[in-house]
Amino acid sequence: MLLPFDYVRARTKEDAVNLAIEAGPNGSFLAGGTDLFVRMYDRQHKPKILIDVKEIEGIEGIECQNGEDLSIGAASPLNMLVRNKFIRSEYGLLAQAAHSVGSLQVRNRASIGGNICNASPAADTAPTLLVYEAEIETWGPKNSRLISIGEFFTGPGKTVLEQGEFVHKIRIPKKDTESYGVYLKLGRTNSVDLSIVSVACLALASGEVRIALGAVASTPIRVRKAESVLLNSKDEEAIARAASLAREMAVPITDIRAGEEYRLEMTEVMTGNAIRQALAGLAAIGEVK
Amino acid sequence: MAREDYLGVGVIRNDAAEKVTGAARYAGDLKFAGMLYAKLLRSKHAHARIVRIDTRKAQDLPGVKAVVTGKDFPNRMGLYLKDRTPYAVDKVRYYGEAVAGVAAESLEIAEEAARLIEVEYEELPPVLDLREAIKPGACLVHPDLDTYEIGAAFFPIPNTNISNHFRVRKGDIEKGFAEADLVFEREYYVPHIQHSPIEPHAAIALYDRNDKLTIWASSQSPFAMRNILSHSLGFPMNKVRVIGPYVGGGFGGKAGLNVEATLVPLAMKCRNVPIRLVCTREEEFRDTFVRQGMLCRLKTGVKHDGRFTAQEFEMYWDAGAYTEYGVNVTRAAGYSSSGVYDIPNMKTDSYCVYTNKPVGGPLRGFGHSENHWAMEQHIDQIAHELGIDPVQLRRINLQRDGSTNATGQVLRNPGIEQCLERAAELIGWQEVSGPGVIGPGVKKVRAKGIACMTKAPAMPNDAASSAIVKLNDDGTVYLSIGAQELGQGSFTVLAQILANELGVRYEDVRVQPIDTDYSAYEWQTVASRITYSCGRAVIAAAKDARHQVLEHAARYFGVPVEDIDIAESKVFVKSDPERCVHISTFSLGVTLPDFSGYGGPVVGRGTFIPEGITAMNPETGQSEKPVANWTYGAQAVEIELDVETGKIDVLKVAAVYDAGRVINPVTAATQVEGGVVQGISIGLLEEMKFSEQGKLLNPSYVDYKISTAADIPDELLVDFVEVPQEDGPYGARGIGEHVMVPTPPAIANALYHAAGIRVRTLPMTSEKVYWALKERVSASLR
Repeated sequence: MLLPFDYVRARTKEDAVNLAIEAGPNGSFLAGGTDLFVRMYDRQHKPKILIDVKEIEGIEGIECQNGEDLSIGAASPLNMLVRNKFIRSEYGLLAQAAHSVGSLQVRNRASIGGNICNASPAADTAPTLLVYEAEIETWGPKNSRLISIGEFFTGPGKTVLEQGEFVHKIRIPKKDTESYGVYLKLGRTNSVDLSIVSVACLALASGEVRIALGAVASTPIRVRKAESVLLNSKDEEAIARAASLAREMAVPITDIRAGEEYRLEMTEVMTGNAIRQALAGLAAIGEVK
Repeated sequence: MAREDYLGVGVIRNDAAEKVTGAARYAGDLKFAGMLYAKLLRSKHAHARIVRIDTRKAQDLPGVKAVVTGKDFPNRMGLYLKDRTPYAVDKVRYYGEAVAGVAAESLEIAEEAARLIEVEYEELPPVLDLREAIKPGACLVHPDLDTYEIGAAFFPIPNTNISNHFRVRKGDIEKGFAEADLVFEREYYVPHIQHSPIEPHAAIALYDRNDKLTIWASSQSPFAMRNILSHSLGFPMNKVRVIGPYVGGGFGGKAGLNVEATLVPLAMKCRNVPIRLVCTREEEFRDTFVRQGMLCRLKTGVKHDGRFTAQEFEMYWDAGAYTEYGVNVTRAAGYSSSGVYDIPNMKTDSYCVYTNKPVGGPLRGFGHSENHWAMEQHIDQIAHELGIDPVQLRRINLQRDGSTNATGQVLRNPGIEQCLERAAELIGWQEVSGPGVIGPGVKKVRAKGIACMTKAPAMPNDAASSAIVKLNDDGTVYLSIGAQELGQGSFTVLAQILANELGVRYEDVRVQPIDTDYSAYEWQTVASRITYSCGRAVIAAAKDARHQVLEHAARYFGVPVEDIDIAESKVFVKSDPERCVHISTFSLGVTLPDFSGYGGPVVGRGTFIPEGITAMNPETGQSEKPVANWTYGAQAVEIELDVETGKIDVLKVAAVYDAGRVINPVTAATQVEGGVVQGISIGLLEEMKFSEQGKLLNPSYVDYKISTAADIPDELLVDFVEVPQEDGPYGARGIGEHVMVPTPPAIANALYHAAGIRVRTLPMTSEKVYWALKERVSASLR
């Protein structure tokens, strides 16, 4: 059973910040609530005031135009991303990752902002946002700031957000070149599961290959050392070397879902496969054009 | 002479419309004016003495109407062994056991009050390891076991943790092994698992001013619940009434008496006010029945030609804190321990062991699912070691007409051979000899596996059924039974049987919800026994009602009874079919041409009890007829193994069962499909994990995974063999539980054919398979 709490709806960004500062540690922002309420029922989290941000202008919805940055309101439900035609065609990797979260019902409610603010090491959208080099546009006591996704996570359940600060939008830089992305998720079941290991890989026509991992460190991580191997060569040897470097950079734990050793092995296997699939996908686009 | 209008016909389920539209009501949907809400305080220790309970703060909380503890109601209860109390008395025996209960005006208040109860514990060493629990001098979970009341078919060992020791001694085991050319011995393990019904346990209890206790419950067993409440808790039978709305999935977990008992002392303190308890999902996982863990050692003697000469089987059941129902699981596993094979010399010991874990109880196919995990892998392994195709080795040893099983029962026409051959055919079986080998660079590999099964209803010899058929004024028919609709389709099949026998339209049959005050008696809706047993009672009741209608009609038409027939709710003269009236003409009797009345309202009655089942010899487990019947089946699977991750995908399943007679091919097939998916889930995913202190670590679907729609095989082929069951309705026998039994070993056998590895401990997770693969590769390099 839930403990009693007040529910307030912020009408503006400023409203939300003021309410949050007033509430102090007793306050909690609310978007979809799919993680928040589970923790409230379990009493791991006991907020006395929930500040609903969904009515704030621009916090829900997707702004997308060719040649411009993609801007996603933080409270946009994951299914909005999954169903958005522009995202599906231009940022397919993000649609894949959003689709892999929870169940259909959860995705109708859960927001992309919540997925990253929750800061689970296994957050499905995080590795994807890492390889897209997304920027997190926040609003808080110091007004707006842009935070690189790579600097956003600081630990399990922890981010750089300050007291009273919330995520307003997520910006993904416009596509300069053709790219092809792959999100591989190893769960116990084929759907409705948390990752044991997840890998996002984005191959760009510029020759760059970006790789990020989920569930194998205290935060989702980008593995640049592994990427760098692929700058000059993309043959099997380089791919294997990149996969092995990804494994070296992973620092997983043993938990109820899987053991540390298995996660390490899978990091290497899945990174290699993600690279191969991303490169093949990119090549196929080239052939079509 | 019965027609066969509705036999073998896939009529639309009679509960479909109301379930699809949400009109169907379940126990948790019921609301009463002034209803109170119950919350239970549960133990945070696996094994501890209760030193002191202080409920004063809880009692003083505004809105709290009653607080009870074990001392308020210390009577022991249980289906087969009375070892359990509604609330812990003096001692808690598992992490989660109910220690106190609160009834309050709202759930919020009840929860708050439960938090305010202070309990002082003195921790005792928990008995969590099965191997430790059976050692001499082990800490005893129930030191008073020898004083408990227990059914005659069970054999506890005083001053140990063993609450039942079931034995099979058949032939000469030493001679059997002496005759063997080779002996194979292996250990196997199954973990604790949960039933995972969609609907959690829910009950409402009312103790009224007439001293009558009424319980609305999500229950497979309204009558058994009444019986246990009466016998164990000391209520006169006529003062207990159990009402059973639809059940949203049972799988055995809602058999017997369970969490409902905790409401009884509360209801007695809050007279005339209904009190409601709905389990949280966490409670559903841990504090209702679970399937026991089982560790076993299986040893088989075999000739070079593949014939089995002897089998020694030792099973140790991690049965949890109370084994009131669990003792029968161990018994069932014992008497079925030959599986589908004819083994001349056998020695089986099945031990039910108390541990400080959640309460073990019935789960779909209990005993059989667990022992087949061992037996059906074992024979496969032996086949490979002998270089004989696994299907062929099964053929060599199968039970046939005149064979004997573990109990020495002589079998007549077991349908297993037909099932095995058909499953092999459907999957496209090709002879295999020897384990699979993964070539270098191979990332995915496909392979097939097969497993057989047999199961009997695990029930008392005298488990009875009855049915009452009432013809209404408008010609519709009410069928009153005590058998429950759990989603398996029993109401549909029983309505078909009734329509068929009486001659009415299937659509005109209504199956009445269960109320022990008004419904016809049924032992329990368990053991895949409803179509078989209640089906026979329905036939008898329908024949009785039909006879009354025929008599009325004979008078009405002025012809002999033999000249009357009923079809599609119309009653007509056979020799002159133009003379035909609707059956409603005779519902309340008949008015004759002189305006005089005859007969009376049509009420048919029917009963059934399987005959000739005799007790097994306590020393040897031998009996000419130990159980009502045996259902046989075989399943074959094709899997794809991801060599890089260890993940198994089941691509195709062929499932063939000897149903004796299929009454509804659609519900029969869906029952098989559901069972196969549950079998895949148990094979690959399901496991309750405990901390070193005995706390359940995964009481939710976040980390207790079950198969999702995305895990279901692309191809699921279902077929039936029909070797009639002598005393079954139209020859039918049960298949409900059987259909998940062979799935896990069939997958395990496919895994061996794919990669030459075996994971003898369920579930076959990606991680376990991966490491087994690694080990095989490194072993081959050594």
